[in-house]
Amino acid sequence: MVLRTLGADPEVVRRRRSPAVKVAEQAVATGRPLLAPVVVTDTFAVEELRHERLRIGPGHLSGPLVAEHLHAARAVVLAICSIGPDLEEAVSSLFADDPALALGLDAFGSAAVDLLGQAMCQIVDERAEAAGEHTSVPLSPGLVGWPVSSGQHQIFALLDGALAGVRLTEGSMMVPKKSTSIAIGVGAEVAHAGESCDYCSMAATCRYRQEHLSHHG
Amino acid sequence: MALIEELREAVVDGQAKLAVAKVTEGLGEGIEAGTLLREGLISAMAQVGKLYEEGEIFVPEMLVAARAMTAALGVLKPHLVEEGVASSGKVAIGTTQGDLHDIGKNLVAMMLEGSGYEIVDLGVDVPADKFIEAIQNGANVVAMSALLTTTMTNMQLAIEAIKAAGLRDKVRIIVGGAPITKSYADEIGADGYAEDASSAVRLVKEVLAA
Repeated sequence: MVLRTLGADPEVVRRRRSPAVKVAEQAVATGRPLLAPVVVTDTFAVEELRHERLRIGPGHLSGPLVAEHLHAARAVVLAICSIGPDLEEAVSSLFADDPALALGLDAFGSAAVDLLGQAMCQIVDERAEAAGEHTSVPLSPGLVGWPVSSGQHQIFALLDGALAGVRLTEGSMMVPKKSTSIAIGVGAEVAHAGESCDYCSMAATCRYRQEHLSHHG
Repeated sequence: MALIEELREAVVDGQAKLAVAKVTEGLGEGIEAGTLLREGLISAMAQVGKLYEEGEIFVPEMLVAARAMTAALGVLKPHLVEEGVASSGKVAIGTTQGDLHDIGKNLVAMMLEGSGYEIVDLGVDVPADKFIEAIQNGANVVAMSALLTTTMTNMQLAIEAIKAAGLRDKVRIIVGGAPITKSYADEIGADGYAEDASSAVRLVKEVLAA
């Protein structure tokens, strides 16, 4: 997982007995106790869609991406997921002494928050399926058509990020960095079109796209 | 020279202890620190960069090589100072204002240091005036990183501030980071764009030679 997140082929690296394997194993062992996964989530009934602005509960989500994927939703599930600050603090303090382990640990953190987000989406999918409904592709601010600068504030206006220990900077960046925010549409008429990576603003430059790994930190 | 070759191999293979032992042995045999640096460490990191760019090794392997190089360089540094070995250039590096991501920036800094450059690490969330101060203190390359589409625009503001301070002709500016492209670098008036740590080393060499 760590090696793959770093863009390496684990089989190849293991075959040549690279010291990177030991670093990856050490990163997993060091990182596990530093994980403090937390998810804050709530479901909001869709009130109205007008001019790419989806009114949900006491707030709204807006933008072309929101309109495209959530227009048929009965409800929208929002979530803020984080693995907490401990791992990235360890990465920062480790970098000077052991940059290889620090980067391995960072990759472990990226993979962990990605898995946490995926687990959240899976729960939403299973519940929707049990109710005879469908889910949209998970949307995150920063995807094409939903700018980070507006999207993050729309989600954080509806969910209390502090409950997950997550805050937004002036530049709309989540702190801790190993956090992700997600919106998923649910409804009988909702279509699951493509994957989140298809709408990523970094699709043109991302090396990890084929691995279907998203990066949040 | 067998020892230099063994030092190179130790770094490429990421064997930190062996690299330190070879540097120590070389110094003991009277080999100049500058020679061990140029023909051993810098040459090894150039090979590592080439292997990475050719897809022969991956980022984690490049890192363990860099770790071995850093360990050996630690032993070498006081001797380089004694010999008066000059660095290949002074690079001020930082993550652009508003951005707290530092992994890519740290990786580039490490690779540049291993390639003989003096590094002034300005950290994360670096305002334009810090880059200006670094140039005034002798940095001849500024390397800026951004990981967010919301913060990459601050690169342009920093370049404009450097121009306004009358320092643009004294420094080469390179940019990088996940959302950055060559066309964006051109658009904001940077001297170059590097897509990864290895190509950043090559780019710094190129822009300083231009």
